[in-house]
Amino acid sequence: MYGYRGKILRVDLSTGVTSELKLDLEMARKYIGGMGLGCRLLFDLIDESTDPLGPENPLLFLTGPFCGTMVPTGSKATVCAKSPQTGRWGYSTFGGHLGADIKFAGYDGIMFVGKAEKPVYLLVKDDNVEIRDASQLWGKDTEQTWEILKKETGFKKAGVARIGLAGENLVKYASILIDHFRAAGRTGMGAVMGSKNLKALVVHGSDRNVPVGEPDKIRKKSAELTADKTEDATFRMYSELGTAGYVDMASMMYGSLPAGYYGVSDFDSYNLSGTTVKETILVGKTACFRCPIGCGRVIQIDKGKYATGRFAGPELEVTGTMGTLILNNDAEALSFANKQLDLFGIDTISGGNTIALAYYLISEGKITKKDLDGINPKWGEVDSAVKLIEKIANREGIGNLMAEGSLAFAEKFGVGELAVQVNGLETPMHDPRGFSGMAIAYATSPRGACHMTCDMYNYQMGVTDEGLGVESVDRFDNEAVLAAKVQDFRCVTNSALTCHFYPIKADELAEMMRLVTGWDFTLEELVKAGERIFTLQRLMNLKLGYDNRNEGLPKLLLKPLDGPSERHVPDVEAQLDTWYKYRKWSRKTGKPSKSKIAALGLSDLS
Amino acid sequence: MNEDRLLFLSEDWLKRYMDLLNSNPQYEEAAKGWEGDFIFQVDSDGKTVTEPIRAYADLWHGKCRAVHPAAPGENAQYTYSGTLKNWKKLLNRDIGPIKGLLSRKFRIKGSMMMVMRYIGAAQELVATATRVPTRFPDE
Repeated sequence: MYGYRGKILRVDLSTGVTSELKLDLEMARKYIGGMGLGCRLLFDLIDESTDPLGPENPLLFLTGPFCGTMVPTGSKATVCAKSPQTGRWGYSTFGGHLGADIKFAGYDGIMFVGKAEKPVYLLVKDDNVEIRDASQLWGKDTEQTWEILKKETGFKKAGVARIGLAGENLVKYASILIDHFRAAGRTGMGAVMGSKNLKALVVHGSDRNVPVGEPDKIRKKSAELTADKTEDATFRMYSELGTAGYVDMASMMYGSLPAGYYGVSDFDSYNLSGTTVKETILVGKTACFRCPIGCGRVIQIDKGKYATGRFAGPELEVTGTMGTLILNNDAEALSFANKQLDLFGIDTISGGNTIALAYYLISEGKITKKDLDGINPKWGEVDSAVKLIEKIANREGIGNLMAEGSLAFAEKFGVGELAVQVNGLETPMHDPRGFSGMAIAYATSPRGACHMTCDMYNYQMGVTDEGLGVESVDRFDNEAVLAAKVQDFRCVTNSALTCHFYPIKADELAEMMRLVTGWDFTLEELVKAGERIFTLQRLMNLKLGYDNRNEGLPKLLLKPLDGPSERHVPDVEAQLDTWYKYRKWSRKTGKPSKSKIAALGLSDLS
Repeated sequence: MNEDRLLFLSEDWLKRYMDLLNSNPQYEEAAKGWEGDFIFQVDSDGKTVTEPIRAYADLWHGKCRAVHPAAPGENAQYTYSGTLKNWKKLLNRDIGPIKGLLSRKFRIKGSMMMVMRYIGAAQELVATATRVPTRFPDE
């Protein structure tokens, strides 16, 4: 057995009993690891009646076959469960080194079931597993928690996942902070952790020798790949400027960085971009385990109203939600808001969107400051956002409603159609008016509006993949077939768990799978595995009550804007027609055809 | 018609390009803070282009101060290079300068930070090049 440890640690928080689940290697080959394997494992354990915040909802941290090996960026990990935010399949991918520590401790993953009677954290030191009291940590922010855990366990370099107040208070889009403020942000996995009274997990693994099929060849291939990728423009941009290095391009060339709650096309984001951050407040960078890019930013602001001290700097998504989306162009204020979101453990995309919606509704006269407990947000200022962040994390006053997400917030005031979300998940910072492929990506994503399940913006900017037959012609075209291929490929990268910012091609990934696992894993098998995992997620969502009539874009994303998006509005219905036809799924019911299900080896699940 | 067209990256082509660039207000505005010289390079394809064809351009605060065919070994702060086939796509506007980079049809040496900051200027550099009546080496 190569690439896997062959076992998953199972922790029953209700009884305090820990055990080991044997990994089914045939299943691992079909679903690879991470998201794919997680979805398959949870398929048997959850259904429509499962309360996402009840003890019956399992929470699963999973690695992939590359984790802990030499494979560049291959040591990310996934956390998954039924989502309290969407009511559907939920997962979030994260970096840092927690994944590698899980693997070094001898496990492929950790599954939590049940609910602890009082706050606890899990300490794993190789095969020593301990559920410890976390009363002293409850109420602490994610930075305090991390510091206390390092002291209390004596493991200064252990992998640490923890929640903040938002997770404790079951904010539907609570995040989990990992190591040096990498985040598992999407679909509310932090709330699931909070619902189990699980404040943190600390994993220290010492067996760094993960068995692989061809160690020498992996070392050689990894070096060759990275030498090649270092020439890649996106690699260099993310390495030099962080993900916010993309701000200039997104706003000036494509009009894909939304501003003014999706209604402004000429906002000057110069002061927010990764280039400005580098010129002003950047003091360092961080990298996840085995990552040659190092997109993580470290900033330092010591003086003034928005002093953060030394902390993780803003990446692209929060630069949008707490920057352009509220028309704020002050990088220090943005960094401060980002820190608050991280300390409380709130997804910067969903949390930022929900707050930006408050700005918009008040500017449109749909609500008043009385509705916001006296807070009166004005475009461009961040102080109101910071106050709302605190209210949301504590579920205090209006924060209790906003903690349910932007749709619930807008619906309360009779304007649900103004919430920019799909299937309950708020939209990331890649406007489909700038890249038409993001329309079908958001409409059909297995977890709601999501850019990590289909980054068509990358492909419509010029990234190609010959092995997949993916080459965009025009960013405004109906390229739904390409989007489907990218969705399938991202199923593979989200399961093998390589980083999207590492521009690995499908044939290179297949070769790495061969070298690591020792299986005869071809490009054809990779493509089929991707489609299988995408289809599996649809079957899972249908089991959980998914309704494909909700596939579409919110009203505000269908309004043309001047500027670089050239008043383009994607034709979502046409894209859906193309997409369903290509996938051979029913456009009417959203169900994959029986023949497709059989061909993918999923008949036992339908 | 070939007589009216100037050989790509030749001395005459470069002079016309410099004149057009210096009379382009959009470029001047987009590149007003830019400081850095460029080598534009057509890579060898082993067929039509056996040795790289290279040109030097000194770009400074929205103006082009000098151009000349680059001597072997001559370098600049930035090098933008691609094959003849891809330069033709660029000048025909089938691809843009950034799409060219992301699809790896072109490579750039030099700070990505400055390239990202001056994306508008990069677009104007290409837009201006398309206005030069151009004959390529394979024509």
